Amino acid sequence: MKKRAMFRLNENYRYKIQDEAAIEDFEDGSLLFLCRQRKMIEINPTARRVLDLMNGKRNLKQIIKIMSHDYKLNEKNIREDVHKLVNDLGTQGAIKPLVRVAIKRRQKMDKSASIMSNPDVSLREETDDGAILFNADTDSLLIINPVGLAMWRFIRAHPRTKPNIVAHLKEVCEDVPLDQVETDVDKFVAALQGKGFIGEVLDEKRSYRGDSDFHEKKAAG
Amino acid sequence: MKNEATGAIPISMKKKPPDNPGSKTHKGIFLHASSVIVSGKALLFLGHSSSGKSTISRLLSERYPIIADDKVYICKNKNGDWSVCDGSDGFPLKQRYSPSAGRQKSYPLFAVLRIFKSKSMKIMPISPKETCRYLMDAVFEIDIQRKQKDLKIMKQWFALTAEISRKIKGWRLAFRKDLRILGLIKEAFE
Repeated sequence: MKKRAMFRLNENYRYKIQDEAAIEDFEDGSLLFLCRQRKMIEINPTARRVLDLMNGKRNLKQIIKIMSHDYKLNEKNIREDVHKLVNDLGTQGAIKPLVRVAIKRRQKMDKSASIMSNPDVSLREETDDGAILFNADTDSLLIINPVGLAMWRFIRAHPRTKPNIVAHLKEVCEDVPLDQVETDVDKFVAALQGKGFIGEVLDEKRSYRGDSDFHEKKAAG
Repeated sequence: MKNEATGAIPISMKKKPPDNPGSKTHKGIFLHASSVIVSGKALLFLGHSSSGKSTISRLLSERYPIIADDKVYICKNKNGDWSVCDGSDGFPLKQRYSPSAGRQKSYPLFAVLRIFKSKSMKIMPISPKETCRYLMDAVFEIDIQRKQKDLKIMKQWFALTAEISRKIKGWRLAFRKDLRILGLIKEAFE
């Protein structure tokens, strides 16, 4: 059975349509085509409006407010529909949260921060020895081992917290004590963050602490 | 395309890579489909392998000339209309399939029909959205297009099929293998 991708819904996140997606409008609704997946999703005019608003500049909370105003409906009712839509589209890989990439080493991520890969980083997988990461933004290379590669794959498409990553790697690597996995993940995350290979998913509650230290990036598809 | 003097293929032609269907210079696509000419216009039959595309073309060939029975090429002409020609020769050079070049006869696209084998004959209109879905299925049933990885080109195909669907009427045709199909097509499209 095919495993469904995990999608994290958060009203404080800003979302954006995936780069692989294209929308065409017809008189009776729209079609959203996911090029890589060769998948077609039918969307009604209300969903189309939500996608229009989802341009990476508004968070979900703001979108719900606008929809509630436009359709003259209670926010509570709109919220349920918007959540369902965003969850559906997110699970199908049609939208993504935006990522804020910390470039400076001194910006420390807390445990609850959602981490995602920097979309500008490309990955070249080697047969047995892990992979090479290349950050086009900073022109830096990083060689990672197979465990690093497992973590990279885990954070590539969806935001994950450090505990998520630890749990995942604990599953991948048998017979390794939990505290060792935690230490290794901490070190690896700090190394990746320091070189701008990963970033924190944009969350309004904590996003404007030190904007000079950040630059905004789209999330990886 | 042979050089008449030497019989050899000109060097410039050998070196020139074929155009990518869907690229900026190539406003056309291949479709896994069959097509016949009805009153000077092309009817396009879409369907998966063994859905009856060749069968329906053969049955209709009693009265209507066949353009192609497996692979067609659709492109937009200078007037903005969609033209259909045989795509069975494989990956073409741009000019070969350009209707204006006159190397291959093309016909204006009149209708898109998604065919299904059935015990009864029935034709009914479908929405542009549905037509677009069927056209995209036909795009990715062509080997060379299925392997395409370039997002820009795939988006271009989607835009082209959507444009065709908005302009050209789509139908769902349930048919059985007998000559009554001729009457049905005559009644609906002549």
